Amino acid sequence: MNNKFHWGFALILVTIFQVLTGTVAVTVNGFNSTLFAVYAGYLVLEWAYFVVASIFCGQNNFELEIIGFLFSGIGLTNVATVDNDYAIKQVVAIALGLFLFIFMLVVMRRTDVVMKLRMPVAFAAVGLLVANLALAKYTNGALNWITIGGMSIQPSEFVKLAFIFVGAASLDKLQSARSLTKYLIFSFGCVGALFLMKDFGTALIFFFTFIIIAFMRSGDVRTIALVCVAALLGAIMIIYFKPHVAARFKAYRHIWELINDEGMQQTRTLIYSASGGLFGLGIGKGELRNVVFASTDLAFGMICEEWGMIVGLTIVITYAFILLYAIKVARNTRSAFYAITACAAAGLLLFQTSLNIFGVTDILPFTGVTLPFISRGGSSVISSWGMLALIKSADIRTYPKLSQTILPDHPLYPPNIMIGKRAKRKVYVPPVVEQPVRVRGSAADVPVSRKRTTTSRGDVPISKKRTASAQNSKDIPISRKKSGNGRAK
Amino acid sequence: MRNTTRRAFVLYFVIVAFFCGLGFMMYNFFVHGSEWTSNLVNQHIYKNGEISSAGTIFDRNGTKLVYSEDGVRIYNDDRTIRKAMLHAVGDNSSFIATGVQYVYSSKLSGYDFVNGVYNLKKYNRGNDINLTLDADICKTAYEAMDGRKGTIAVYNYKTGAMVCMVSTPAYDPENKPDDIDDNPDEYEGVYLNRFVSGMYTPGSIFKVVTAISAIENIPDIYSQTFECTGEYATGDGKIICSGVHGTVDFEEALNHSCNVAFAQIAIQLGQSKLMQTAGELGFNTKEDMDQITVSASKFDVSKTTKTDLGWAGIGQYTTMVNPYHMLTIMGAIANNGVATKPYFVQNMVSPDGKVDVIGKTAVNKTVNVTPEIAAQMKKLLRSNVVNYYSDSTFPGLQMCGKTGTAEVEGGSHAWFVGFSQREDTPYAVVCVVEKSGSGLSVAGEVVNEVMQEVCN
Repeated sequence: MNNKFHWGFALILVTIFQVLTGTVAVTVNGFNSTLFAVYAGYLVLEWAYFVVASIFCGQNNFELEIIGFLFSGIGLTNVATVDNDYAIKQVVAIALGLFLFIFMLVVMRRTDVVMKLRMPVAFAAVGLLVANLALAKYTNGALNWITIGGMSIQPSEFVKLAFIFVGAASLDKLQSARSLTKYLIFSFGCVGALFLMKDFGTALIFFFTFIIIAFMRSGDVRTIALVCVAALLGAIMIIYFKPHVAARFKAYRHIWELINDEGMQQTRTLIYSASGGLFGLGIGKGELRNVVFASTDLAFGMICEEWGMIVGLTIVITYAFILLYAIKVARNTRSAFYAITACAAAGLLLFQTSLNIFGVTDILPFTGVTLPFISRGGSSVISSWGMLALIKSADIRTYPKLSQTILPDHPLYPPNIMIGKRAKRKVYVPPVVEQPVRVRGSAADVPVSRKRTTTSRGDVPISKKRTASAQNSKDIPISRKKSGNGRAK
Repeated sequence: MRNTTRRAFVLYFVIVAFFCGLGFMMYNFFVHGSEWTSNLVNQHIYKNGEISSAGTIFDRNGTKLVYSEDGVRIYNDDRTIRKAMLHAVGDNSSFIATGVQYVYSSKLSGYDFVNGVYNLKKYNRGNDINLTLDADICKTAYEAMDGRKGTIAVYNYKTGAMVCMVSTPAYDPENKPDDIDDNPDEYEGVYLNRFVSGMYTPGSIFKVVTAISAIENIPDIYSQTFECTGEYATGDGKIICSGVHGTVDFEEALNHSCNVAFAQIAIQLGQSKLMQTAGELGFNTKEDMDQITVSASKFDVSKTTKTDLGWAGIGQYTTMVNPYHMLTIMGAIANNGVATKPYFVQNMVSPDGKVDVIGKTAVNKTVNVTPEIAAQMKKLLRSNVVNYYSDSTFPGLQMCGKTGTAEVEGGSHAWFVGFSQREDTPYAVVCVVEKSGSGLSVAGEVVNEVMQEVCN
């Protein structure tokens, strides 16, 4: 009960903050009844979720929701003073984001459902990107928008969720080269599509997320290094040979020379963020809002100018804490799937935040990615809530009655990868036969890897295909690695 | 699984990298924030590229030179004061890059790292700036220039505070003329403050430098005599004098500004001695007046013929001097060898009354004059006025000084550099009137008009 009161108290504080800032936003240009309705709706939404989740669903961990509500509220207030329509769209997007959040938590409760959804989600993601490429018209130099029934959506935002979901869910097949190849094809398909859309910022986010997932799955530093170098070379080649790409990066570290051209947004962000000082000039009192795309790309600058740099820094530093939180819950979660989704989603949020704030302040090239939750944009807000769901599903407190409902022999619940206190109780560790260290690639390695595969996955039938693939020389390093796992734990 | 979560350690590197980036970003804001906010595109301070909201600038008597009201910059009521103070105050559009409104725009806007420009928005004004200049004296000076181009500046050589700094041509910042860019004759270099940025051929005022070098390096300089027949053959050319002075000693040579005598002294000194003295006096060294960059006087005789060295010794050749620099040398002589730096921005007052001193008495270490040389030069410069220019030219001022008439293409610049010896009026002055005639009759008259008002 204490715990519940604690989160309720936190939400009360958030609500006080939102009422104060919302009052300013509603009254700054004379009383605005539309905005008043928007805020009232938003507060009701928050509290409805909290009451239902805590009383009827037995939830007692609200860290992420509180942050999500606080940030969504700041983002809402920030865009609300720019335009009424923005506010309405934004609050609808937050509501949809919250529904997606709940929906994803329900779906991800059961790992067998996750396994079944893997391929459909992957195909849907690729289909979305293909549809995007086919339907999109150039908007602001990129092809990443499609318009359906008067609503502009940015499919790549939703593909982000699918990318992490598919990447983590295909974990159990990782050790086979075929599965890895499939995931590689999927990843590079996504990144390639984004390059074709000229959405380099999002492509970079996908690439970074890919690195996290690939590293957490295999732990093979050399493979990752190779992928990174290849990607870097590829990127350099693209920038070198494609003038329009180079043009995007032309302003990087030269923004003051191009103050009214390519460096316009960055210089304005710096000028007005500095003008705001640590405590800001007041909501609605800024000048950055008059710069093109201020509420989307330059939301950080608007926050710094109007709310103060302390608020701006608090927001972005919070993303670092979300990642720390994700790392912490990943240590004690149900399976590797959840560990990877949590870390990848939180890593993605922090990376995207970095690209945004360092892009607009000319520390990194300006790529035009959004600041999660804060930037105006329905797809971005909905996707950000989805990211929270990916993180929250890894927290074992999210599913309090789960341990009895999931069978231990489920594909995503193999006993040998259990961790934590429960793991110690339940895990059966097969006796390990000490093997001398072999030179990689030598013929003598093959039987060992087969044997290890057998012992470590005693309860999972090994298909012939698998055995055959294990004999493939490419597979040997991975299997050795796995044998290492089994021995050490 | 355990490995999977352990591999999450790479994410700590991501967090560390993120905080490094954040630290770098904050460092940039801390270091460059004031420069960024004073950018012309900052709509908090500028509207349509013109300064609109900023603090008030006062002269030393508390006269408002410019202030902001409802996002509009309003200048002093007096049109002549507006023109006279143009280069000190600056214009709306930052064309005058040495004006206070440009150089101190971040101070006028009240920017600081903690509050940003909040005070500007809240009080509708930033910090106020007090100048040491006197608008009425500047007005007199502007009128005395009488439409001619040039500059005149007066400063207290004991404290460094300037009371007068006028550069002409000027225009009215409230009603900027439309033909300003199409009328190069009338508005030549109108955006330059000639006092800090001007570079002129010195003519005879450079004899002060040659004389200092002679006192330093030629022990019997006072007992030497020079024969002036109106010209002097150096061996590879000749030096023309402004008159025929007959036999003159060192003091008389300076009194009469005898080219023949000073060309001989320069040749006698040689290139390296003369260059050494010029270097000690701050030639070829960039200076600044708080945040305003001052052009460096140029003197180089390392590759001259004898004749050119002679011409250089009397201030012709390639030598270029800056009025600010010449004023500092005068200050050093007047102040017994201590070269006080001129300044005209006194302090800054924040809306809550906090005073931040900007202009302080400081010694310019690039201008080195020993007390003995200062004393001897003082005597010589006083002798110029007493024996040649006459005290009636500067009644009651006890002036010391040196005139110059610098021959340039299309005319001659009239120069006067000097100072009042009176204990109660420690003011040094520099005046150059471009292409207007002889030093004493033109510049001397302007200086007297201004100095009379300064000292009385």
